[in-house]
Amino acid sequence: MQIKDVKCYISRGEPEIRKESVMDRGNMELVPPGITGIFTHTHGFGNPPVAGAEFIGETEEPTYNLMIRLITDGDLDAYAVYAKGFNVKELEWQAKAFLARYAHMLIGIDAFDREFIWQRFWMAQRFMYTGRQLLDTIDRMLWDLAGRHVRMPIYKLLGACRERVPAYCNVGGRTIDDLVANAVKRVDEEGFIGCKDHSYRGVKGNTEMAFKLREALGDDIFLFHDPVESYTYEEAVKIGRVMEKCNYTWIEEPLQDYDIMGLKKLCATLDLPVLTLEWIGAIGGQPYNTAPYLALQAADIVRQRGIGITGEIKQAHLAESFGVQVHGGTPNVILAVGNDPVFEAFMGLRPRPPEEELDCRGTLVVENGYMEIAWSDRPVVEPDWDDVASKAEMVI
Amino acid sequence: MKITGVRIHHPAGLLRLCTDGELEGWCVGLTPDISRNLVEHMAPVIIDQSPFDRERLWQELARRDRQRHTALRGFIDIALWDLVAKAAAIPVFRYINGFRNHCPVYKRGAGISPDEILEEAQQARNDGYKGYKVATPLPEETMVPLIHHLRETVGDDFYLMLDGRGQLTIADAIKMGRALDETGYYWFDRPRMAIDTTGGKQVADELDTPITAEVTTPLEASQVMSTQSADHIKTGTPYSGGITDILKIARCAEAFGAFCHLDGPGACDGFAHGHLLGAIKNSPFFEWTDHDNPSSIIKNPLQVVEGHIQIPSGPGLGMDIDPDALDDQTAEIIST
Repeated sequence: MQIKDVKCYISRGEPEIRKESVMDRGNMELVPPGITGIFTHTHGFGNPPVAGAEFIGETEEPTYNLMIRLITDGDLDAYAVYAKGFNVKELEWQAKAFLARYAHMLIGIDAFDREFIWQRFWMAQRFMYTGRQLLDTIDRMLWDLAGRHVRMPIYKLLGACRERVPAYCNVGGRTIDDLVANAVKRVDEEGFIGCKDHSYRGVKGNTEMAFKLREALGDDIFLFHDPVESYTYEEAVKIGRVMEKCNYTWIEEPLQDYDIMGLKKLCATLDLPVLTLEWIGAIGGQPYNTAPYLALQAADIVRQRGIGITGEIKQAHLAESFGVQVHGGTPNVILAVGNDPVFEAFMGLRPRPPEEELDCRGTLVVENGYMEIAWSDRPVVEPDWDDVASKAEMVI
Repeated sequence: MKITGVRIHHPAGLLRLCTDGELEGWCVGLTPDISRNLVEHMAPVIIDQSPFDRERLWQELARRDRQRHTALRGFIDIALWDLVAKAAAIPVFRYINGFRNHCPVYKRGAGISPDEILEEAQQARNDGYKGYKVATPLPEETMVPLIHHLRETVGDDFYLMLDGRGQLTIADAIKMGRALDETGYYWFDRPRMAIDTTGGKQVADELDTPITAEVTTPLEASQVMSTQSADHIKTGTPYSGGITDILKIARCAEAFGAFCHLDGPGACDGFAHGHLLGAIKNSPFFEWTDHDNPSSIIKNPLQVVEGHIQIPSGPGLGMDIDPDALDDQTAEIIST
């Protein structure tokens, strides 16, 4: 099935009120600034001023989607929304940039030659400074096409390893007591097997949080700590020992990902598994930048930030060759590998849709403490491209 | 789709994964003792299971590796890939992730004496192969002059490799390796066994020419890479497992920027390695050898044309099995 042409459609989306605001960071100004009192990112942001930190539009404005369609000589095409915005002109130029710079790298290639396309756009990241999103979008749309072709969700195409994995939720709160109450409520009412904080309260605050959480939730609930790179090495050892006492499952990004020697030492010091590489992975480079961390034992668990489905599989297989787990993959990849055993349900619950709404692409389901992909062998309803074109603001 | 049974024809060496539908998954290259072991110990894992749950089946089969030959599950894994890609009506390499539809080939030598080796390499070059590998164990005092002589004979624009078969002393490996450095050989296969991480590292550090270590599992590959006891990985079906195993090994090597070379044609007379080479970037050549016994039941054997193989484009592995030849070569069926 060869890619013959590329078309871009700019279509109207749902109108939205524009809004820019700064996320409320709770009581971060109260966070102790580390053992030494040195300015660290533990407390470096401060809170936004009470007034003037929010801009809200007065009326709804139209939004637009830029959809990329890779037209094949087969029955099915690959397509995905590539960009969204409030300005047609801006999207028009994004579409033109895509057509001018990248379309020729896809036309004439077999739509199943994903590895070739992945490798080609991997190099383009460097030579054309594309960033990771371009490759991520293209690889995922080609896997989506392959899934629709075989009428199965991608995890079955990859070779399913399991049908569901346990899921945990993220919890937060302005105070430790708020956070603990929130955790108890969500675990009890929503059935998650555990919960993860993103708490930057320093060693003192997070020690109090850990003991209160464990006491409130009992021994059977999984606990995960994610301080988002906010400790010094010494603080990470101290809090690690606390988390070991409280039977935490892991500590995530205790130090900056760049601190490979600190991470190596921390992995050797703590019994508590150290999970890392979310930030470096978010910039790009996986699986290649993961290899030295594994070889140097500077990671006990590695974050899954492979680019596209293809990149995620590479990252999972690399980690597996070291007997190491990954965390945070796309649901379809999680279900197709043996070493990504728990799902971070940052989206909350996703109840199972009625049977008649399911198709072969599959729908994410999060309920009763598990994540799964519900699907049927019904084909996906394909876009009517003439209709899309007639309603589009612009076809390029 | 469910797998309903395993039937293995002998002496043809064809494994058939039978299903509740019309499709079957095939693998060629089994011996009777392997087949009996496979049917007894491995087949129960896959019976009544879906071929689309490949990774789960792989994990369960791999757990049974202890005291069993990895090839047992390798044959099953290859047949599973053949089956699912047939169901999708696309070739295995594109089912995995297509990278290329043809691949350059070098010849693995079979000559015994230096004269035979020189003649064979020259012939390989004339036949259009892209390179030649010396695969005969010779003493160091014979090998070093041969390494030079061979380069002079074939010229500079032809890939040459040397295979130590894991049997060289460290001292001999370094002496031969220096000759390879001087004459621009592409790589030095297996100077030491992979288990010799310290000796392997010494050789790898001493030489400019990359050396390989032969591994049978992804875990071994990660250990070789992280100890830097070899520059490249060497592996192959069926003794390292199936297509799934090699993909995992190759992806580990890729993350370290290393090549993953496939050993010879492997299972299915090269069809499995052909599709693997069609799906991975970090493996430069198909290793051709024409002294193995080719299977007579495959009607469309791989051909080297102008130094390349075309990766079969039919559904699955693309093996066309000759029913008459299979009948002729079926004296016994070992089945579940």
